[in-house]
Amino acid sequence: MAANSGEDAPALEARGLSKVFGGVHAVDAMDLTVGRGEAVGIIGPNGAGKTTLFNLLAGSLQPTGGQVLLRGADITSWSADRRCRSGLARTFQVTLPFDDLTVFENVLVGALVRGETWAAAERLAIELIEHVGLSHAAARAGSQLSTGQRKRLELARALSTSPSVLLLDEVTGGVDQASVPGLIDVVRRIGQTGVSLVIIEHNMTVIQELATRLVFMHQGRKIAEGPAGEVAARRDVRALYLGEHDAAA
Amino acid sequence: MRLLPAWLRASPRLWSGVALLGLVPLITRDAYVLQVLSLAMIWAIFASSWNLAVGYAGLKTFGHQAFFGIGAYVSALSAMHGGLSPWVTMWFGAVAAAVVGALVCLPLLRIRSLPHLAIVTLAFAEIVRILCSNLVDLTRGELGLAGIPPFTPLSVPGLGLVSFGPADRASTFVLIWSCLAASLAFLGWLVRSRTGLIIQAIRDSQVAAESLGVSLTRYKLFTLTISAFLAGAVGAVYAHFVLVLTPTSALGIALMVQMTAITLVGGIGTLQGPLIGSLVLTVSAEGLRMAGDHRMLAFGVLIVLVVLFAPRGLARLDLLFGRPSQAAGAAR
Ligand SMILES: Nc1ncnc2c1ncn2[C@@H]1O[C@H](COP(=O)(O)OP(=O)(O)OP(=O)(O)O)[C@@H](O)[C@H]1O
Ligand SMILES: [Mg+2]
Repeated sequence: MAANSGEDAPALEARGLSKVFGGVHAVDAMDLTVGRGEAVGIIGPNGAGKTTLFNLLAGSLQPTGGQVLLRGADITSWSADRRCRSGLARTFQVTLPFDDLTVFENVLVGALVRGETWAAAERLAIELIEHVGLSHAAARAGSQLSTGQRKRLELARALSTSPSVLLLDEVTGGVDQASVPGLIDVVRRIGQTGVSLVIIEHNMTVIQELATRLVFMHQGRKIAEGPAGEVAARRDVRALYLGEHDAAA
Repeated sequence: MRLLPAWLRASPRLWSGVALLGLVPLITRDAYVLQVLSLAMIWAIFASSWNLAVGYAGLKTFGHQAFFGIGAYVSALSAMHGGLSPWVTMWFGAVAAAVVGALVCLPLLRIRSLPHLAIVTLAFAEIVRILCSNLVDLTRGELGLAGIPPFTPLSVPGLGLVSFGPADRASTFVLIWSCLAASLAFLGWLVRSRTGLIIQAIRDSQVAAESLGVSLTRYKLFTLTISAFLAGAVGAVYAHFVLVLTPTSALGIALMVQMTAITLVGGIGTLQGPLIGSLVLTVSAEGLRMAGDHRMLAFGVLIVLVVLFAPRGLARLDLLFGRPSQAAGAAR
């Protein structure tokens, strides 16, 4: 692969990314390219290594091997906070609200870290809270939120850092069915602002609505990749994943 | 109300309480009462410095008595041997404590497990205490460092020369009260500032804070340095107030236990908690003197009761003190 850099480089790239826990290859030589403004979906059964891949991309974990590139720059050795300040944000599958801060303050933090003035940060926080549909809960403490509200807070908080690439880990996971269409809409609108998205999602309907391209992971490896409809229709994918899900459902 | 800064508007009860406390010398000149309350205010400042690190930033350290003692000894020794005024040397004490605080913070940042952190910080403070008792030539060890000069007289417009010697309990009370008010005002401003919000985010989730671009190292280092500075400064005030220091009294584990009790009883992570805790515990400890031999038992029962009925501290009891506004943003 030619070293593409600067303006032409993809938004985010993983090259041969690996993570071994003890003897478990949680992520095994993953290659991933996310174009600018593209929305890539990542699917795979429980334990496939999706969240671990995110932890490697976002810098919460150091890889055993491989590289991460952000707009062509090698960021493999960067800390998580530095990656965020360079435009790479993420949400957490197991939500991590700041429990003793209000929803408003939770979102304020990201904007303040970027060096916004108080007034600008407050305006941004109010706007984002409204954007994810949490206005009515803005004064509530992080510890007082329902699962759906926590997922929305994760979104607003990640957006408060003004990312160019956003990693979304099961935004609809554990959320009541009625809230799902609203969340899909929020994510779609984020994509429309030009933010590149990487979306981990168990719900096939959701992922096909949001992602143009799908990557299927199994046991840390990329098994299939391609246009959303095509990957979802593949036999091996259905056998490994959808079948399992249908059985579970 | 709008004219007042946000931190002042946010905790009206705290500031009314502090103001009332400042009026005590007008009500009584009783040396014993003033002495007890002066000490209580010193412990309140000390506990507030610890509260900043533990209650606001989630930095669980159990070695703050080292910063208190370093501030006390550095200020006392430089005033005694350098012939400088305690008004100057107290800042030496504070800076020395802050420098040590910054240095010990660096290895601490790598430790994530609470028991390990507790042992390491406690061991650090014990090393400082043992060093201090062994440097007999300098500190006179457990024999005690005596002859520490009190704060030198200040000329106050309208009052003339005000002195702060052992006989001047009222003026010393006002001096320490000013330190308390200044410390609380500073902390009140700090915890509502950008940095204050960010350190509270770190307390609630380091991983999430980091994912929002927060450099954990930078903010933890900052917080512990400020916290140690404050502990060192109040340690220096203590030295020029009690005028005698021993490693046990200024650096001992008992200090840490006392400060932890004060903070927990009062309400950890609240601005008013350490002051409430300190006043309640100091005053009741004095009041219980009449219980004689049963004093410590009664004191223990009191702490157990508070922990049972106000597990998050007296400051968080709605009926007594009103709910502290958690929402800095909502108050703004
Ligand atoms: N910190 C860790 N230490 C040890 N093993 C881990 C750790 N994190 C993940 N693993 C293991 O790595 C594998 C991949 O886990 P991961 O959480 O990445 O899967 P996932 O695809 O996100 O699953 P799910 O769909 O359930 O969220 C699993 O076998 C898991 O047990
Ligand atoms: Mg996962």
